[in-house]
Amino acid sequence: MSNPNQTVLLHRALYMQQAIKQAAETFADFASFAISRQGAHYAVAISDIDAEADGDVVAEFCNFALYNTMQRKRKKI
Amino acid sequence: MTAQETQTPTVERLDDAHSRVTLALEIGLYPIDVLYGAAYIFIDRAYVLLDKDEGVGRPGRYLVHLRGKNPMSHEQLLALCGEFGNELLSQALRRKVVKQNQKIIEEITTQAIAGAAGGTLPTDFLANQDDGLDFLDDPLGIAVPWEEKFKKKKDEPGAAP
Amino acid sequence: MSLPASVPLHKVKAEALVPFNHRRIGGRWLVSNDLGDHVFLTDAEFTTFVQAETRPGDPLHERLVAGNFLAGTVDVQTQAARWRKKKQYLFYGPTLHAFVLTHRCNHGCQYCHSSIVGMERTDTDMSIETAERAVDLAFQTTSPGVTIEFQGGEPLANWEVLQHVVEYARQKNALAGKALSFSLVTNLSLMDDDKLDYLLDRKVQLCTSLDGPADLHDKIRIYKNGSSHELVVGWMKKINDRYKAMGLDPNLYRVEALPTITRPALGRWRDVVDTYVSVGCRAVFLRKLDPFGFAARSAKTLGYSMDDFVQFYINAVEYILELNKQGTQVMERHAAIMLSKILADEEPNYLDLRTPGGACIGQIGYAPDGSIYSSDEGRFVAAMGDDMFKVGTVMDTYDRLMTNAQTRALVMAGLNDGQPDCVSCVYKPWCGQQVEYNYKTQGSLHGRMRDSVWCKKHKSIFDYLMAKLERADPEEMRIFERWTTHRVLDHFLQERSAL
Repeated sequence: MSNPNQTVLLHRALYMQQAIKQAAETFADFASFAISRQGAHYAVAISDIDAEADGDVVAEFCNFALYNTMQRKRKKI
Repeated sequence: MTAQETQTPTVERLDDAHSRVTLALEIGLYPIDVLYGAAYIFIDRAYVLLDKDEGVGRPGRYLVHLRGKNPMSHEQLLALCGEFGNELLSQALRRKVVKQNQKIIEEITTQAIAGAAGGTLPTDFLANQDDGLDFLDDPLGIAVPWEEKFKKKKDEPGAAP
Repeated sequence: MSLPASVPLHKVKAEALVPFNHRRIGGRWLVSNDLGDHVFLTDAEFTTFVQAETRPGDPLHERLVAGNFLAGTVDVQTQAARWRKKKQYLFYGPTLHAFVLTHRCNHGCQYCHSSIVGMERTDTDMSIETAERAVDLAFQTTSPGVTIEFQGGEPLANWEVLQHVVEYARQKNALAGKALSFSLVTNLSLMDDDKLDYLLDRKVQLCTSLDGPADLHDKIRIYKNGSSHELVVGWMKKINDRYKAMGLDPNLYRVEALPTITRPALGRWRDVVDTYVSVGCRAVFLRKLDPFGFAARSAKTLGYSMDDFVQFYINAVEYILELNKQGTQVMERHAAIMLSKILADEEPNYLDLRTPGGACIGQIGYAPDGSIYSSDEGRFVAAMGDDMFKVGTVMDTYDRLMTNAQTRALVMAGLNDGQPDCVSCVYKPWCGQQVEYNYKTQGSLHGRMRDSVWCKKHKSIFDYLMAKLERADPEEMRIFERWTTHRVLDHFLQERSAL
């Protein structure tokens, strides 16, 4: 990862906060995550991204956040 | 399916250099779980980010950002877009079919499982009967292998702390 | 498929008709219902039918009554009993239990879908403890029949455990009294006279791979110690001779062999069929290359489009029919299964063509380490690093295996009634899908039948056969009748009190 700090915006209508937190916990060994609200989005500030990590931590984190959201919404159906 | 629901998403942006593409589809064309369902199919080979553009003076849109986990050619990106559109249609249609045939599906499934289990079904079996009917048909979670692989690498002796 | 232009929608009397699907075949309409009946109608007949304008005594009316297409004339009790008979598999658990005795193999087949390792890797063998636990589970099935199929790798490499499973299962069956049978899927390279004596004595059915003539077979099925083809053909002859010497009907009892069709075979349908006939086989099962394992990795060199396969298939079956007309009795297995369903109203319980599919409730795969998979294909997916279809281990209880959320999801996903396209397909009563195939090729258990090669293959073969039935050439119909005459290979059933 060339940029050790990034912010991703996840729309609040499409991602659940608990799901994002869960993804952040999964990736806690590889980066630090701070979640805040920013208008219609959750802003996830990702810092201290492990340069040794094998893969794109931010993009994988987003996939996990989406997947966790799907799982949680599914349980509600 | 309504005529609206047969519309496919439009390609908003296509970036060959980074194997990235953004698709847009009008909010309301498909139920949200159809969008999730289609997105789910792609998360093993692409990074998927969903977003919503509320739209000022025009209908709002869902934006689907896809980036190949491996480099993709222009043609492959276009094929990915087409496949996403097909998946949306397929999921929407399947949702309707399942709803229409829900009774027979439940009855056959119950009979098949009861037959295999010798008539003893767990007490919560019927309550959970619709587990297979929605967009997530993978009770294991497709995302797990990457995580395991990732952690294993970290846990290896000599791996970076 | 839309209605003919001559049928005004408002005149269709849906309430008078049993729900049906239809498709244009050879200039007429093929109409089918969920009970498994079919009829061919001209445009005019079709219009009369959907407008429910037939009258008792009309030949068309009588055909429609006989085919259970007119709602008011269906004998519900009789048809319910018929449906129940054909759906018998819904009333009991898995019959087929695939034991992967080892991952070791001495062949390097370019399309192999298993995760094979070298012959020195005895650590990949199934242990006796795991095997016993697997047999215990297999016998808990609610099915009256248990077939234990030995697979690998090359299962003969773990001979000690193979023998142990046979003895242990026979012992258990003395009490269980199931219709127990064994089959061995082997490349025959580790066969010797002692092993053969034992296998024949214990009535283990033998099945091998034969891809066609020597140059084709040996090019794909690479055996470093010599010609795999020579070895296979030699043993097939020897085993068939032994069956004959045992007094078994040579028309029925032969080594079963299966070809896998690769790209080099596409133009050689005659050679493939001739090879089977020359080694005494009465059946050829023309199997498409699958999307699992090495097959997926070698697709660039061995793969082909579904259109190519279908053309190969049609060429081969036409040739097989030609041979039959000249007096050589040989059948294509896929066609025979489909025709048995359509013409003989039978359900051969072929797991790829039933609904729901066979995952878990029709078959189970036991890996050497004790993992249990939904099917053979489920463990092929696992061999590619994805445990999606692992439903448990031999330490689980049978009840848990059959009733857990995964099994339920696999069963539901394998139902035609939940599939767009399938629900409106004229071949629905005879067709099925495989969730593992859907998952591997299209990313979800449900897949998308509209662009599924699975669907394309089966629809194409059904189309081809239905065109034959529509034409109804008397000689071909006689051949089809022979192909659909089911004869039980009861020699391979273990005696209920085998000990």
